[in-house]
Amino acid sequence: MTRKRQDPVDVVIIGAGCGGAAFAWQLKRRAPHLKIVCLERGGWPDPLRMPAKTMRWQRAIMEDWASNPNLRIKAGGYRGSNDYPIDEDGSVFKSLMWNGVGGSTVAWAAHFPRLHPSDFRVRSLDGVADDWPFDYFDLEPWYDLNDEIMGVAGLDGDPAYPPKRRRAMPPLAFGAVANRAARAFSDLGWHWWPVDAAINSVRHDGRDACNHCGPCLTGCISKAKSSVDLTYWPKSIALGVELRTIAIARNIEIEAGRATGVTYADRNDEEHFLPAQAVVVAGNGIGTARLLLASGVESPMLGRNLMFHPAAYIRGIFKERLDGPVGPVGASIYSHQFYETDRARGFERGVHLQLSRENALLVQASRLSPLWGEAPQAQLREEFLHTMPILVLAEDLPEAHNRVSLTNAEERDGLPGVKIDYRISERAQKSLDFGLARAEEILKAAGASRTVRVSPAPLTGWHLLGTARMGRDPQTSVTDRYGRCHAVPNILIADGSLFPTVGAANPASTIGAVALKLADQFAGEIA
Amino acid sequence: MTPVQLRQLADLLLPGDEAGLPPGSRVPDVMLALTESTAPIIAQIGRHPDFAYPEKRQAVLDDMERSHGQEFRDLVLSLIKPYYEAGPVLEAMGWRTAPPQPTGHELAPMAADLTQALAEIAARKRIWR
Repeated sequence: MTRKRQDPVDVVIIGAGCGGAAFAWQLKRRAPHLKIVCLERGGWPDPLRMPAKTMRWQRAIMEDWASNPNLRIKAGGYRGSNDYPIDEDGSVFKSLMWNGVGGSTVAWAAHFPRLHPSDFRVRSLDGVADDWPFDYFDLEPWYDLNDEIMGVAGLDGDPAYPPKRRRAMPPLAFGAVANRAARAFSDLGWHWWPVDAAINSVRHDGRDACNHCGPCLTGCISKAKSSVDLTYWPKSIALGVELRTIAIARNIEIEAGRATGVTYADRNDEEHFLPAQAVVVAGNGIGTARLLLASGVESPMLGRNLMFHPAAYIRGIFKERLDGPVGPVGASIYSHQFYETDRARGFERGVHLQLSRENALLVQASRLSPLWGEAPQAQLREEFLHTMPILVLAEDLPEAHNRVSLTNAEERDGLPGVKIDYRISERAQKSLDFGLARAEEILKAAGASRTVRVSPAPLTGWHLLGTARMGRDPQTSVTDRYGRCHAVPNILIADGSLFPTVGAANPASTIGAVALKLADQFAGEIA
Repeated sequence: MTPVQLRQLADLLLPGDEAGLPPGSRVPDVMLALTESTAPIIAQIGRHPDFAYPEKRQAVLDDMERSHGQEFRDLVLSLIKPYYEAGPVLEAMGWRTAPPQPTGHELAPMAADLTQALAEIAARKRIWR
């Protein structure tokens, strides 16, 4: 195939999701003279095509707007996410992502916690894995900046964190579920707090307040939920960053240990070579590893140490009617009572407990066993509108056998196929079991008549982390503390792949903050 | 499969209940999905000699589920989807027939008594390291 050579640019960013968007905006702000182009394999999310205004909204959660790209591919059609298949047979958890402008923030729950200070120092404090090359307080200014751009609803004074700047909006509405759960936490004497959510609880930044419609994961028609296509990208484009959509990066060209640019395919499958001084990769823990491996970047840890946050649910069934599938799905209250290490539990590190919302009726009906006949319908009768789910997230630690690798196939996007292998460690399983037991105590204290455990919960693989970890040693890490690949120093990484460890809390806030920090540092170098 | 058999199959898979949840055969989109389906397993069920006997139909489906696991599951899912999207089913389950948007839903604010609970938590010593 003939490649068309384009005019050179200063920086190519691959991926317009959480990391790529924040990096682009901050770099352009700091170094306005730079010519920056972002290549995004998908398109813009289109609220007119989101299903929440249609009667097929429940089905969409399982088909064309499913969180798992393999399910979306199976359903056919194109909704803005330009997906590639992932061989997940070797993984307990299935990968969830959105491959378009905004990345997975288009389809996320917008729960927006930070990591704890201890999460950056697990080796020093607990003797496991590795410390990050910087700590919470080094990152704090960029956490604050990321909060400002994304817009955070929450409440000051949470003793689970160092003091944070005043949240831009008050907490989201609780509903009957969170009010009941909060009382149960308090009765047990355990910590709980309204979550930090990147969702408007009141009108903010030109976008409406959330109207609690429910299916956050199929895109937000009202735009109350922050996603980086709504926050960072309009600002970046106004500054002069060029965003090219339906532009699939196929290869980072490398000569004599330096990247010279990116070969990409446009919407007509015509290939272009875009020369650049530096290449920034932000394609998430699977996409970034896939592209770097396909480009021949040689680094022993590239693709290894995949971390998800092992997840499990427990559902409490109540005699009283609760809320049903309404309100921001992952954004009401949480507890970090058991987040920090207590060796008496028999494992290091801890768990994040998060109140969730009930599944849509059809989604829940499709998950019952048996699936047909009188029994599941009777079960739905008892459970629907009467369920309180609690999500348990455990901390993953890096293990080299959990990995992203290439297959021998060539996929339709012109890249090698990709597979993931992942199994839950004994330590993580202990933490999940511990968390489930605590969650069960809460549900009982709240008055649940019975509980149902879903452990592990396979369709929870949103957090794709650790496959290009930061560190000092090229044998044990892929990049340095500045996100520069040891093997090819003018390739930077700016997404969750960089995380040496992952805490037990959702990563998007930290991904954005790290991308801003790296962009600041990079601006000083390239200027 | 004859139209009568299709209705029998729909009602075995989605029997409904006495509290108002309709049987599958009463939901037009379920019957449309069954009628238009090209899944070979439907014909196999219809040809099964025991399917002619009401008391043996359940056992026929149990056998089919065991012997054709994925095909059977796909068939059930293809009917569950239109069933739980149907207005009468949603209403019978206590839910509204309108989609989530544009109206959204009311959601109760944080209860007043929890303000004090939060103040007590905030007054505790830090729990981060």
